Amino acid sequence: MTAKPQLSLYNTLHRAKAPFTPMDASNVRLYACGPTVYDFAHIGNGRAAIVFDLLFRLLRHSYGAEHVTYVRNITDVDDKINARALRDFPELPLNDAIRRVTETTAAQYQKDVAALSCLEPTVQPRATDNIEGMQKLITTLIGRGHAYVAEGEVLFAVDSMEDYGQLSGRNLDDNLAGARIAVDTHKRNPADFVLWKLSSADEPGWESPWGRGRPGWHIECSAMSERYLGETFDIHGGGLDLIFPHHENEVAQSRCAHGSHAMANVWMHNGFLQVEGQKMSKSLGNFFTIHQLLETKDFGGRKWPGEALRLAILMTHYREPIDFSQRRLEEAVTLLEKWERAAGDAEPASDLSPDLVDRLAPMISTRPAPSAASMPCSWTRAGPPTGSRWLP
Amino acid sequence: MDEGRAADGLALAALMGIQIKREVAEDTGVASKVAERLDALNSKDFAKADAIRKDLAEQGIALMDYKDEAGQRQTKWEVKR
Ligand SMILES: [Zn+2]
Repeated sequence: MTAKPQLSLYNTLHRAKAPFTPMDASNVRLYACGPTVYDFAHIGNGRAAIVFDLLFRLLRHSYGAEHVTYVRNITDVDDKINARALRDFPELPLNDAIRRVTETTAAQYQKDVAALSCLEPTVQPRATDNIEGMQKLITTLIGRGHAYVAEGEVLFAVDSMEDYGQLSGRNLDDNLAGARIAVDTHKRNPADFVLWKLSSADEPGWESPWGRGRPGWHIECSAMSERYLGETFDIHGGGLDLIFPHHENEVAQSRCAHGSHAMANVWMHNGFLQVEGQKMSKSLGNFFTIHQLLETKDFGGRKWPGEALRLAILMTHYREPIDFSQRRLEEAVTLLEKWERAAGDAEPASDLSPDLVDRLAPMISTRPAPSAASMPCSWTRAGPPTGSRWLP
Repeated sequence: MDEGRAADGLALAALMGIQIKREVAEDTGVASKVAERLDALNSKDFAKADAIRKDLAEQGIALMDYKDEAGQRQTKWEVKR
């Protein structure tokens, strides 16, 4: 057995770092929110995939590849998908059009993240294959007094949960005081959120005790994580933008349905990604998909190899914001070339010494961190990699 | 370069999911082009030498000229990422 680095993880829930101890070292359980498959994944989606892939790899290294279960879901029911299906395949029946959109987009996503060297998660469940599990959860929530039916919707009653808002640090008063939230009269509290909503004839829907309808966004992750990882599991990850409302509401659903103290013990969130100094947006012209970077010359006038994209992402600690730029990619390419030259005819060591792995673990655990770039870099230099410009 | 450290570095990079060494491509005729250019240089046919360099650059091949121990002009090449 090789070295086991003691991972120390920052937990959004406690706003602090703590040594990580899995509930069961023979089955370490990780869930990360995956893509909504209506369009090509952008480089910000790529960052989340890479960050949690690195965590998956470190966990596999520490606990054994067979002892880590990583679930990354595919959201294939969403109103954005319906809109895209109507736009792109107006001649097809809606269900067929939706399937075309979700299947081609999901296949493209798998191709993109594979090119970024992301391992395949243990399970990649689709929301539409888990409608039954969602309905069961909703039934339980209604039965326990945490949800109610109003005007064709099943809503989660946030007031029914004493400590709603723990993860994001928002309390219900904030929500109300901040209220730009349109006041829906059928909601008992404006912060109540949808678990199920009725579908019109031309919207996708499933039969349910509450009528033909479709699930809200948050319930799918509660259902799929329970199915594959259990009521409480080790780590739940995603981008910073998912903390509220998505993860907050996942926690509310899962804990209230199971009467549990936690949905996941550790919550990890990767930082935002900007492109060339600005928030990525189609209107600014700095919106780039993974596919564009890999296969077209749209960004910086050239195609970029997947390993350069991956290194460009990992050069920054996962919780820090990244300014993704052409210059950063060029630096990554230069480093890779330098390392390749320095490697010469050497083959990878079959066993990593503990101290080497200890130097990699901080990428995930400490902040600021010795960067990814400084790691292999150190062996091309005489001394420790303190001169690396990526070191904070 | 210390062989052991290189091996460690490669293994560490692999753990990060970063492949440093690329597959070595089959002989794509680059070596003979490089030799042809060296001949052109030695016979002061700079136009031809430049044309070959440019042609190779378009294929992502970078050339580095240097003098060997005997003072002879030599060329190293590598495929850019
Ligand atoms: Zn989720």
